[in-house]
Amino acid sequence: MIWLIMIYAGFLTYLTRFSMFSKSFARWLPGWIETPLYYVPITMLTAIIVPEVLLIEGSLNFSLSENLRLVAASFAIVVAIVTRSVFITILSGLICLWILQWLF
Amino acid sequence: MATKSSELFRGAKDILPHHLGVFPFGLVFGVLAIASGLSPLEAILMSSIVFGGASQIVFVQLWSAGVPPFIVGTSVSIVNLRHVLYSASLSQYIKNLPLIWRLVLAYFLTDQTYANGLNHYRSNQLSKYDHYYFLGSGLALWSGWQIATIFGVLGATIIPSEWSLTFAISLTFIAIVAPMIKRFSDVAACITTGILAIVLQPLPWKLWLIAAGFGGILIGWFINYLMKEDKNK
Repeated sequence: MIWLIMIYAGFLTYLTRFSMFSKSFARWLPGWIETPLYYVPITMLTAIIVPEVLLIEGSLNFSLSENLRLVAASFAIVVAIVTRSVFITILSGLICLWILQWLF
Repeated sequence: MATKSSELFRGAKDILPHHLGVFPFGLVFGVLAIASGLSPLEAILMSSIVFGGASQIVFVQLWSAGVPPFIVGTSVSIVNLRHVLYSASLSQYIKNLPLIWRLVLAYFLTDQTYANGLNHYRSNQLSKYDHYYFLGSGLALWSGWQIATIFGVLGATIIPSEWSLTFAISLTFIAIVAPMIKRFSDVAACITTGILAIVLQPLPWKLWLIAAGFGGILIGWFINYLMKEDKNK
């Protein structure tokens, strides 16, 4: 069963990747679709990030001394906007979290 | 003078910084996959069949939560819809390539190769071998992802949780998303998504993921329309 879903998911993933590389599909898709599609990466990735950062064992936690991920993630957001570097963002976010874990 | 192999290597070299995010990401995937009850073979082959970090993580999380297969497949596909945008964005640069090249390069289209490839195509260092550049970045990223998955699968029981490697996943996405947020509608879309992702947690089958994404897209689209942002580009 899992193989079937895996192949199904892999096939659909490949289709989304090839979609606009295909001349006939690109012609078939209405032009207005690009506006909502523009929001897909930022929203879907945000949907994955937010619960990961804000929820601790299933409940919201805004306490800066308990939710160290929230502090490190906020720091990483600033770093990402300022440096626009993937490398520096990930490294500084991880180091920030490790330091906080060591402190608290 | 750019040659096929020099472009291939340049692509592979330029994607290197992304490995810092991809490697722990792959490790985490391997660990999660084993913890979710996948066999080592299933976990390792998924990294080739799906070859998408976010999708694979979502896949194993939903799978281990006992979500019905149809919903698993659909959720993964919706997380993947962003590739249509990437594909649209790069299509102008690859449209004159033969079909076989487009079929091959499509397989390597990920968050990382897209971000890196777009930078390259928008730079002034283009050559007639740009498809080799993209292929090089794709192959390098693919190899890193496979190796990381294998390490994750092997180390599933010995990687200390204090390393907080799952956090590297959030950080990778932050590194990709934060610089993309430029307009008011982007901010609104992300905040809406964030709130919905928390509020809708009780939904069955982890449907909050799709619902939050769609909510954010609709709000972003609506505000874009209200403020006529597209026309002000």
